[in-house]
Amino acid sequence: MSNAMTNAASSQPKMKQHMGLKASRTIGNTMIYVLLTVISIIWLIPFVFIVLQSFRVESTHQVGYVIPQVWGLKNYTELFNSNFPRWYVNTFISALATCILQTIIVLCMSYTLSRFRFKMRKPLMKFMLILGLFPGMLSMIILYRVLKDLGLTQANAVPGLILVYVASSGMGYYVSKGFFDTIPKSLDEAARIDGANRAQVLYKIILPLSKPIVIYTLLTAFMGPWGDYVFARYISNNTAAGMNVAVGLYGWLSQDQIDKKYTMFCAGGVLVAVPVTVLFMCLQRYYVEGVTGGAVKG
Amino acid sequence: MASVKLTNIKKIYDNNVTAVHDFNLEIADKEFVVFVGPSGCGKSTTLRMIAGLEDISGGTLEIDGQVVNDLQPKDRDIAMVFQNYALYPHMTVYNNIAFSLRLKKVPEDEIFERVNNAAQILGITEYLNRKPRALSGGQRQRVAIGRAMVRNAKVFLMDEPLSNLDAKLRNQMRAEIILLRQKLDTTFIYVTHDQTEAMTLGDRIVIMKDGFIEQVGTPQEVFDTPVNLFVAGFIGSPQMNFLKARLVQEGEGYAVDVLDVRMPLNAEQNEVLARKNAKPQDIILGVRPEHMAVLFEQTENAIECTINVNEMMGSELHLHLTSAHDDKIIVRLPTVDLTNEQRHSLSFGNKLFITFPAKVMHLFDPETERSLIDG
Amino acid sequence: MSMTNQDIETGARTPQRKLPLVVHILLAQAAVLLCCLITWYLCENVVPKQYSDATYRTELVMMDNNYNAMGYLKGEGGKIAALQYNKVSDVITKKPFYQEIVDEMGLLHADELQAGRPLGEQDLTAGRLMDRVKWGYDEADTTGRTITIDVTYADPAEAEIIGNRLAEKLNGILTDKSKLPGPPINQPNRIEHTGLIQEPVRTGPNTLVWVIIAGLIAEGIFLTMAFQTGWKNKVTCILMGFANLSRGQVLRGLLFFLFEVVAVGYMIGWGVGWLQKLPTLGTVKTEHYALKAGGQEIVTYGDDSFKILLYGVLTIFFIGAIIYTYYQNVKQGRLAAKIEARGKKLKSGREDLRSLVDDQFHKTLLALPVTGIILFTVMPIIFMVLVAFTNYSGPLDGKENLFSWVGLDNFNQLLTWTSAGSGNKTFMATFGEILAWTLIWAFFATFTNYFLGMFVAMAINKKGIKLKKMWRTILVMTIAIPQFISLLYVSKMFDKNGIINSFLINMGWIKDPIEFFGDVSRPWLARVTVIVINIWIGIPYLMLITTGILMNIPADLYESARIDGANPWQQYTRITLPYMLFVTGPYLLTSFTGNMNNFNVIYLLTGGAPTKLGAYSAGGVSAGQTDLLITWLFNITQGGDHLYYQASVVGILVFVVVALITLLVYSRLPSNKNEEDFQ
Repeated sequence: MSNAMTNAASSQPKMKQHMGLKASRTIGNTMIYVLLTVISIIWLIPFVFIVLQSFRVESTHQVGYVIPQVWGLKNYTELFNSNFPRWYVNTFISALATCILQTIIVLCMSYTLSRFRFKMRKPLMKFMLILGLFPGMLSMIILYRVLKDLGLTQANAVPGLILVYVASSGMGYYVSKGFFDTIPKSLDEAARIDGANRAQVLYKIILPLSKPIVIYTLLTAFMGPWGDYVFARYISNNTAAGMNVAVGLYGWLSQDQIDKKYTMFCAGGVLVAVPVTVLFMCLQRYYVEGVTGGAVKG
Repeated sequence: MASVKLTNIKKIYDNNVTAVHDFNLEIADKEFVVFVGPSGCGKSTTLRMIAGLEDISGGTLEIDGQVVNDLQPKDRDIAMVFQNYALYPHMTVYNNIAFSLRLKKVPEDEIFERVNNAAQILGITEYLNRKPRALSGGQRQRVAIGRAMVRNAKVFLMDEPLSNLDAKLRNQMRAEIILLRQKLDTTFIYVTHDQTEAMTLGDRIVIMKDGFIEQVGTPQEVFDTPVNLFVAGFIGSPQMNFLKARLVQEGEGYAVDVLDVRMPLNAEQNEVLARKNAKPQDIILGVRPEHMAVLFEQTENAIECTINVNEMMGSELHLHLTSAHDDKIIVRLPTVDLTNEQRHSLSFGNKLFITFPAKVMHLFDPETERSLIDG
Repeated sequence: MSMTNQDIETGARTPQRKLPLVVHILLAQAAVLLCCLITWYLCENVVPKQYSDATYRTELVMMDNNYNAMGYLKGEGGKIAALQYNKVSDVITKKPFYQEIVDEMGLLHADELQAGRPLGEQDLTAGRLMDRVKWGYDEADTTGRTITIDVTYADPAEAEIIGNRLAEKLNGILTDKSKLPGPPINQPNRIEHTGLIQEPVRTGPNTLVWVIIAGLIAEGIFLTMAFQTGWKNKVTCILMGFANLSRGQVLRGLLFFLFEVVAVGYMIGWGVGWLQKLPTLGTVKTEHYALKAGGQEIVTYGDDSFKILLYGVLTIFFIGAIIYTYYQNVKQGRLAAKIEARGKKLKSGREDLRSLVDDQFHKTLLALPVTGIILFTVMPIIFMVLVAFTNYSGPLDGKENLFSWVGLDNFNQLLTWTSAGSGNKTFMATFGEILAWTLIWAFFATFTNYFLGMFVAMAINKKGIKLKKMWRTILVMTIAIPQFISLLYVSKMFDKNGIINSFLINMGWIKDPIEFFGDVSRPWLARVTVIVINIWIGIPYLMLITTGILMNIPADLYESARIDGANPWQQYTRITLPYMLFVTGPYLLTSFTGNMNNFNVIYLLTGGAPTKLGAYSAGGVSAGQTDLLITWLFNITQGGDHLYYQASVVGILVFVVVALITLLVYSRLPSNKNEEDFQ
């Protein structure tokens, strides 16, 4: 694969031409290396800091320096005395359930929109486009009330949250649909002539070819609940037992709690970030493939 | 028994575009019929309607006497080979071919036998364990055929199967398809835009343009007696020469004035024209390049032309000539009997004379474009 | 379960009618008339009629020196003003006063209620009695000495007795010198009875309304029937599913019939009830009462406005579904008749089921996702839009409170809403400010990330740069980390005593810590910081996307450009940029509108701060300088009074703005390629 950007990015002022193509290219490249190194440092710094701060035990409030004076695991052990484990389990369960259910729903929707041509298809897509323009939070107010009547809030926030995440997830079909669009329709047709009904076409032919997008959808669906603040906050409504990690940790940074909980926040953040990041990095190439392949089809 | 009958078949899309108008055709059992025509003529659409991949907007489709308009593809007992082969990438060749049999719950040992049979006929036995991406174009082509073959379907549909192959392979595969046809002994419906394929493969050819059938006939028929200008120009390579001419009466019969020369017509033509009460009129005269005789000297009824381009094809020359009235004429001239002197005279700017007998003349009405004799 | 067009187009002959169409229509009208008559008869003669209560007036006329007692009753200007301003009104506006009367007169059948009979209309609790009594003064009496007591009650005789009792009791208080000191009494006060000032009025059933409704439904059914041919199709207009059942399509027929049973059952049992309450959103309040004075409090729940709104709207949608299903039912009858006329077979139940995994598979696949979307996105949105036309707010929330429609009031007041306190801005002014910032933010957030991300992607992609994978991986890793951690931590980094400030002070570049997010006088500092941090968040993702697209640009475009003499900048603007914009056009648009609603970044970074004094404050929460419309909306719903109706109005306005932008830009986008091109 040819790198299309080679020529566009080389920035040689005219007067350097007499130095020769190779030399000027080296200068350009060096500048880019410097730039990339700086960028990498800037991007990684906050996380390095968080990790460092999580080991600081000499004080629990925010300080102006980075490297701990006294190292220790106290912040981590303290986590287990707080509500953190409960939040963690909550979030994990939500993530797992959402991961599976959301993937099923999204794939059903995007496969249908990609493969089938039916009268309501374009109106449906336009409709979902318009629906997406509404601020999602408005729905929370009444959903909260309904869920409360069903008993799925506060301490029982997790099932309620899963329901909210999963129910409307069909609207996020865009990337998967783009992916399905790239599978030639003639495969479907050949299978149908061979005797498969539409359902068999889906799971015998299309799904085996869709591993990247399935993993992409599973991955993004799993990661979602870990970072959600608004909905979790609404549904748990200040009941600690129902919160997820985002809401809980956010609470630790409020004015009255931050002095005692700042370092614990860092420790909690590390415990949340590490597994998720590791999972992500293992499946990274599927994520990249999903984004670059399906996200921006023209 | 696997006859196919299309009656008043139409295809109209949602935006009111009519892709196929009123298609009527009866295909006999075990016949090899070719739909041929330029891009957008509706041949693929018609094929897909027969397959069940497109809804039929109007008319009746019968396979073996049974109306199948509402049947799903899998219930129509047809097999199809696609232009881009459409092999299942994640399955081995064996499994690709076995797929349809497994869906029908055929026992594995029977599958084994049938798949290997087909593979042997097609010469792909050594590839059975490979995946499609490890095969060349021609090999994939055979696998696609194998997949269709193994079903023993009533009707075998092929949608431009050779279009993605290079010229040499195409010729080879053409011959193999003819052999295949003999082995399979079933009804074939074949779609192509290449008239050579149509002519060599088909028992009958259906020539289509803009959704209409222009002519249906055996290769010989459409070659010898094209019913209109389009068919005449479409069949045959290089394309038939079309010249502006005039039909006149000469004595008891008729003649054609073309390029300052009067060519009398023969008895059969005169009879047909007389029956139709043909009046003198402007016509378009069509003569195939291979039917024109090349003379190096002027004779009666010979038309003088200047040589423009000389294409050396090996056993013959294709000469591009310009008439005195600036008409472009192509002539085919076998080289084997030419003297050296003659060969050297065939260069740019030199003069040449062409003539042709009455029986190779095709007369077309300039407005209706129909043939005055055969239309 | 639908049939293809070709069934209709093959020119099947419809079975002919025996009588001309006009006759059928006339017969239908006759049937409608009959229905109306029946309904009228039922309403007038069978259904128990309801009447509103009568109002009976009793008067207490003060004599002589008791005028001075009236000093205590006087309002401003010498006239009694609704008895508001003194000890007497302290008494007559509280429950115990009425509780005594209830107990004395036995208005509450305490023994029956204790035995378990639910509270009925005729039971008067102290609270209900208080609602039924209106105290006032006689305007005609300019001396201002006549107090009027209006009692509203179903039975005028009872009203008279109660009024009398009330007058006596009030008189007792006024003349009790131990309670109200004053000059000695010479003449006793008089109690007079004016009589009924409001006759009972018939309130229900509203015959006219019911007749019209019955007429419309009947018209719909019978007219449809008139247009059907064949008795099977006619019967199906009344008994849904009959057309299918009588032709052997058991599965479909049963489903239709079952639907009819459920629909009719629901409407009669619950639907009508909800619809009746919908216009008022409930009038019956929840009651707390005691069976006797000082006794245990019992609660009976009245109407719940929220439920009424919710179920009322759901019922309306259900009616829509009924009409649609009915239409399908009739249509299937017609199609079935046509198919039969052609001599073909109808689809059996098994065939229907089979087609659900084949040609109708899309319906099977879409059933769950679409239902989820309708229930959890569409319905809430419709509901919240409706809330904008009510006064639903925190204090009026909960099972015990009623809110009501206010029509376009909220919108009319948009321009004039001002929060308490002088110098505060109006709603519109604040809205405008926040909208402006939201647009600016969305613009910069989208495009800085876009171009910088593209720039980084191009840099990494350049030929000769090694370790491409490593650079990309480092950046991609930051996508994995949950956003809230990054944002929260970074926001703390910018705190007054945070790391950034410490660093800057230690380097000697500044002396005092900069309040990035807290400095009210430098709002743009906060805003710019937010944009910059957002770049940090967004670049890795944009880099990924643009990398993929960049790799798709054919290399020969650049080669031929180079040969033609284009310099790198020209290559970028003439080849790279147009291609990128073309492909990512739709993405940029959705990114822009997405950023307008980007809650997380703003809220977690700043919470909307810094908060400027003087901004419109909704329910005690002020709008901040970095607030987006959506974070402001969130605060409105969270703070103090929970002014949901304001939040709804803001939400609708946000939607309108975003939709306008989207429509404007979308139609101008050149990249509406046909998807079929890719297949």
